[in-house]
Amino acid sequence: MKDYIRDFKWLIFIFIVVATWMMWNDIEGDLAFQNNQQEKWEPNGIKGYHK
Amino acid sequence: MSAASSIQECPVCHQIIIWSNSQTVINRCESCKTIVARNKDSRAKQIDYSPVVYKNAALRIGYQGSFSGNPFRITGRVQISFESQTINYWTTINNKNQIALLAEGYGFYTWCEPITMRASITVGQLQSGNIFQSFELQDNVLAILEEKEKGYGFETDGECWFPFFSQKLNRYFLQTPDGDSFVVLAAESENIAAFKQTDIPVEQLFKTGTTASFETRQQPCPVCKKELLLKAFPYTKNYCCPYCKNGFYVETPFDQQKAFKADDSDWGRALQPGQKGKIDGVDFEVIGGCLKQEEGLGSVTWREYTLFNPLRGFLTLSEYDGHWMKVTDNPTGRPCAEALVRDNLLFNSEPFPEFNAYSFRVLDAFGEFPYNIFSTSGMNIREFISPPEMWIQQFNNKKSITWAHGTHLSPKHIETGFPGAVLPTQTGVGAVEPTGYINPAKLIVSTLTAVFLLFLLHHLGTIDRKEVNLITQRIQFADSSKVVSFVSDTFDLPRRKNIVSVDIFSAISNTWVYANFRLVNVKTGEEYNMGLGVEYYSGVDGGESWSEGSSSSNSAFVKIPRGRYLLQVDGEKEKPEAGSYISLYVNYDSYSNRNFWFAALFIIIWPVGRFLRDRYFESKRWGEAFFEIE
Repeated sequence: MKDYIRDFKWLIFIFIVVATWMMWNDIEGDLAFQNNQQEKWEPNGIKGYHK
Repeated sequence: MSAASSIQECPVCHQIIIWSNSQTVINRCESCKTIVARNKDSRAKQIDYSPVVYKNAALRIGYQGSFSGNPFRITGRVQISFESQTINYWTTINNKNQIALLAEGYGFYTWCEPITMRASITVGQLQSGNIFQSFELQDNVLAILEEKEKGYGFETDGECWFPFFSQKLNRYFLQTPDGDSFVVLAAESENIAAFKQTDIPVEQLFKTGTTASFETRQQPCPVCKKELLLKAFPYTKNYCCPYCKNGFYVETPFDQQKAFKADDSDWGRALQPGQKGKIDGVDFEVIGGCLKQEEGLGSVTWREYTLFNPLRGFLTLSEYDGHWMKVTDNPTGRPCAEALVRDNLLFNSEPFPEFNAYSFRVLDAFGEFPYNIFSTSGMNIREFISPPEMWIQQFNNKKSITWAHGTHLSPKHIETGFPGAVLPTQTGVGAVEPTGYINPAKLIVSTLTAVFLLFLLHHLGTIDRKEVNLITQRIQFADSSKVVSFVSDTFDLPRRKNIVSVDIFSAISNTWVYANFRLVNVKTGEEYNMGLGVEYYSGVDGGESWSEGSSSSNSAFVKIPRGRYLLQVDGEKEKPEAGSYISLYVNYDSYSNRNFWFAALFIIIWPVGRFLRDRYFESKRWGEAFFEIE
């Protein structure tokens, strides 16, 4: 067990940080990298259409 | 007078000889120093065996210790010079007057409890037995023969028990797959005795802070006659004269044979003879060193230094390309021969893949050695690694399969332990240099476990979401208009923080439709804005049909506080077109895996990076062999 913790301490650390972040988002009604700021939608100007 | 009597008369000087135990069989007259023996039916008789001449040992007559909680005292010893080692068999007597032997040599202390061996095992069978051959020593105790060696001397000191007396006594070491070890001592005339061995850690046998000191032996070099100082006698089995560079094999302290002629080459010794230092807090002195070369390849050489502490025994420091390793010969809990499966050693459930296999020769040497370094004929070495550890198997099919255990040491460790050491420059990756390598299978299993746990936590955190539909609406554009507006009925968002998802669809072709959404809190007037559009294009180009974009799209308002809201929608399209519309679906308390997927992505980054890094370092360590073992 001691060896396992030594080898995977970074994975365990990252897991704790990421799981906390994920659960906080879930509780706060948030979605990762999503916000409510006004986004000016623009058509892509798809290349194929202009052929 | 029977053997059980406590007092007998010396057959030479007729003074009394006191026997403290009824089972002891050898004693020494305090008056005339004659060595006498007794058996069950006779008086003490003089026997033609020598007293121990070189008495260096950590234990001594009168020493009191304990084994498995039973106190014992030492009354005497028999010292035997075997081919590759000298062992003291100390006679111990416990409080119940039971006798056992305590073997000492090279810093190892092994309790030898006499056992009754199956009568069918004979001296001849063991003599002709092959290394790896199994012997059923007792019922259901199947042990593998791992060492056999001849003994050349039999010296005694004090009052001893020994199963028999012989100047030509062979030693056989056997081990069961479970790790139980046995030693069988056998001589001519069917004299044979077996013992179960248990290693006793130094810390258990001696009080903390105990030290031992050895007397230095001064002797002339057998060839050049210059005076030599030997510090580990009688455990030294090889030494090399620093003047004439001849190497000698010590069969017994009285029989030394020339066995080697050193090259006297300059190989940049990092440590010098007589240099004192510490390894892992234990004081050591450098008493020998040698330059070894792998047979066949011609260019691979490495250096080994022999360190000595009278209580702890010997330690070898091995150096190759500036990478250091401390090596202990025949350590406690060594692997059994059966632990070898093809090219892997499985030790304590840890796989040790074979790293190297070779034979070697000694090019140069200085000082003394506890083992026969000059006898390399027929010796094959295999190295098995699991950094920072290495198991080194030394196999001679006629004599023995023995093991040495190596552990990586950093140059800083050597520099600190031996101030003044001249350390060579380090290159490449060492054989057991710890690089933090993690088995890929272990990495995959751990990562998948972490991702699974993450999913479980996410699922538990969102299990109460209801996915309630707030608006389902088709917003129709007027045929001649490019814009449209819509205002929803009010609706309640009951949670402290809410997610409101918005999905739109429009049956479009080669055009776009856009909508701006305003979520308005009817009580506070607070607004949240979002733009969402769809575009879809298709056609035929060069005889091939193509399409790009999509007629549906979705997004979400997040972290919306509790309250009553309405949704305002302002739609826009590229050009007026009959029948255009936007289908709108708005839900709250929506279930989404977005948080989980991003979290899982972050989790995976470390194992992937770790795998690539390990692969880089291991390919440097193993060279081309790395791709063969994958």
